[in-house]
Amino acid sequence: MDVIFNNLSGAAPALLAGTITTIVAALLAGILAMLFGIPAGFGRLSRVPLIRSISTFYVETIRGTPLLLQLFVWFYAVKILLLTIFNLNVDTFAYSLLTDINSNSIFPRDTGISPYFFAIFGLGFNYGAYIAEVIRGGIEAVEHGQIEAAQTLGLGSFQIARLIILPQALRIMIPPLTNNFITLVQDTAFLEVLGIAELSLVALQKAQAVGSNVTLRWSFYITDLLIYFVICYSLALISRHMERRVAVTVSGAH
Amino acid sequence: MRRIPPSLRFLLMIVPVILVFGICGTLTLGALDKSQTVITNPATANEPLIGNAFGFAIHFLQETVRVLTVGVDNQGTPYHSFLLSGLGLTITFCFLTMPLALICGLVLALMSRSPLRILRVPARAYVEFFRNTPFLVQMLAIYYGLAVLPHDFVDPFTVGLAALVLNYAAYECENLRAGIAALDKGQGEAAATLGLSGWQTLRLIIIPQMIPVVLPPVINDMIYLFKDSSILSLITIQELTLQTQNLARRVPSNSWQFYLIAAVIYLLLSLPLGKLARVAETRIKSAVAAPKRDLTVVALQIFAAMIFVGWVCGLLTAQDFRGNAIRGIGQLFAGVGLLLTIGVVVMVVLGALVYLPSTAFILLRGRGKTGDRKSLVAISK
Repeated sequence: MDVIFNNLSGAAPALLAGTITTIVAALLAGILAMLFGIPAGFGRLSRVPLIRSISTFYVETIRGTPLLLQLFVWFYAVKILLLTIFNLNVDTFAYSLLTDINSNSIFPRDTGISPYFFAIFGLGFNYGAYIAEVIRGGIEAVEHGQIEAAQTLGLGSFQIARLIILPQALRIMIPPLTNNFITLVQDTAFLEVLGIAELSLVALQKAQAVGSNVTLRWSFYITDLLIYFVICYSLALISRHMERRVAVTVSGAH
Repeated sequence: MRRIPPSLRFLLMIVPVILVFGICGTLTLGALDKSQTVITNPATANEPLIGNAFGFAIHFLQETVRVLTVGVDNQGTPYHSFLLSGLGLTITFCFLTMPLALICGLVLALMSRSPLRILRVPARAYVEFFRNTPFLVQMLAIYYGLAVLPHDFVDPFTVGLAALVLNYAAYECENLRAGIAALDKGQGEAAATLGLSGWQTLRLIIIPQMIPVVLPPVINDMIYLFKDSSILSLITIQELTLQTQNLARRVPSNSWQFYLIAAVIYLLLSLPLGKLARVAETRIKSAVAAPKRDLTVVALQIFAAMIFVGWVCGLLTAQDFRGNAIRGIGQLFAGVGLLLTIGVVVMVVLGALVYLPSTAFILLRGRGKTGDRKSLVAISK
C-alpha cells in the first residue's frame, strides 16, 4: 500500500499536467467544433443547393470515417500538402508567430506545435459534424405549422428564428450537445497517437516505467480511468440538471 | 422537378466524395512529385497545380485502381491483399461484437430494472463507469494490465473482442432499457395474471415488442462500432487502419494516398449502413406489427449468423488463426471467457463500492428519521 501511494504521489505532478492538457484540448476542440458545426448545421437547412451540398458533404464524410484515421490524414497527409503546395511549414510558422509575442517556449522545440495543432483541429473538425447534426435535428423538430402561423402573424424571418424556432430548438439541442461534449472529452485520449502528453499517455508511460509489477501498473490505470470518470460523470450530472432547468424555464416562459 | 431515385442520388453523393478525395490526393501527389523532381505523371507535371483539378481527379482514380488491382510493394505483395485482410478483420470484430454486446446488454438492462437493489446498483455502476471512461484507455489497461496471464488467453484478438464487448454492452444496455421502458406497464401485470413465468414474459411479451423500438439505435451503434474498431489497431490487431499504416510505412512516397483510400473504404461501407438505419426505422415497424414467426428465435438466428460470418471472416484474414478453425473457435471462447470474467469482476468491485456505502447511508438515515423503508425507495430512484 505504501509503495502504491509513493508511486502515485511521485507521478502526481505529471498526471495533473496531463489532466490539464486533456481539459484544455477538450475546451479548444469544443470551441472549434461549435465554430464548424453551427454554420454546417444551418447550411444543411439552407435553400441554396451549393451551401446545402457542401455542408452535407462535410457532415457525411466526417461521420462516415473513424476519428483515428482522420487524425492520421490530418497529420500525415494535410501537413505534407501544406508544406509542399503552399510551402507552409506549420511548425516554423507557429514558432515565429509565438516568437513575435515572446512566448515560443510553450511548446517543445523537438516535436513542434504541429501535433497539437492538427490533433485539436482534427478533433474539433470531427465533432463539428456531429454538432451540425444536432443543430439540424433540433431545428427540424420544431413543427412547421408554427412557422406558418408566425408568418401569418406577420413576423419577419429573423423574428421567427429568434422568437419561435430557437427557444424550442435549444431545449431539444441541449442534451445531445452535452452528450457530444462528454464523448469529446473521452476522445481526447486519441491525441496520444500523435504523441501529445495528455492524461492517458502520461498514465500509460508511468505504468510502463514501473515494469512488471502488476499492482503498481493497475494503480496507474485505475487512477487514469477514475480521473476521466470524475470529469465525464460530473459533466453528465450537470447536463441532467440543466435539462431539468431548461425544461422548467421553457414551459414557464411567457 | 422530378424526384431523383434514391440509388441515383446515392451515386451522385458518392462521386463528388471520390472526386474531392481524388483532388486532395493528387494535389499532394503532384506536389510531392514536383518536390522530389521524380515525375510519374506527365499529364500533370507541366501544368499549374491547382488549375487542372479534373486531371488530378482522373489521375487519383487511376492510382486508386492501380493500388486496388495490380500494385505491389517492393516485396511483391499486392496492396489490395493488405487492405482486404484488414477489412476482413474489421468486419470480424463488428459481427462478433454486436451480438455478444446485445446479449450482455440485455442482461444488464434486466438487472438495472430489477426491484432488488443488490442487482440494480452493480449494473448501474457498471454502465456508468464504462460509458464515462474512454474506450481507448479501457482497452489499453486490459491489454497491458493483464500481461501476466497466459499468453494465449490475453493475445490481441481476445483482448480486443473483450474490450469492445464490455464497452458496447454498456451502450446497448441503455438502448434496450429505453426499449423496455417504452412498453406499457400493464402488459407485465397482464402477463402475470395469465400465469406466465418471468422467463416466458421476457421471451413472448417483452422482446418481440422491444425489437422495433431498439433496432434503429442498434444499427446506429453498429456504424459507431465499425468506426471504433479502428482503435484496435493500437494493440497491434491487423485491421484496416493498421494495415493502412503498414502500407504507408512500406511505400512512404504514396503514404497519404493510402490513408485517403482507407478513408474512402470506411465511408463507402458506413454510408449504406446509415441509409439502412433510416429504411429500417420506417419499414421494420410495419413488418413487426404482424409477425409471422417467433421474433426471439429470429433474433437469435441472426445473432448466430452474424457470429458465424464474423468467425469465417476472421478465419480467412486473421494472422493468428489463418486456416486453423479449431484455434479460431478457441480464441473466440477465450475472448468470451475473458470478457465475462472482467465484466463480473468490475461489477462486483464497483457494485460493492457503491452498494455498501449507500446501504449504510440509507439505514442510518432511515433509523434516525422515520424508520420505514420509504427513504430507501426514494434514494434508489
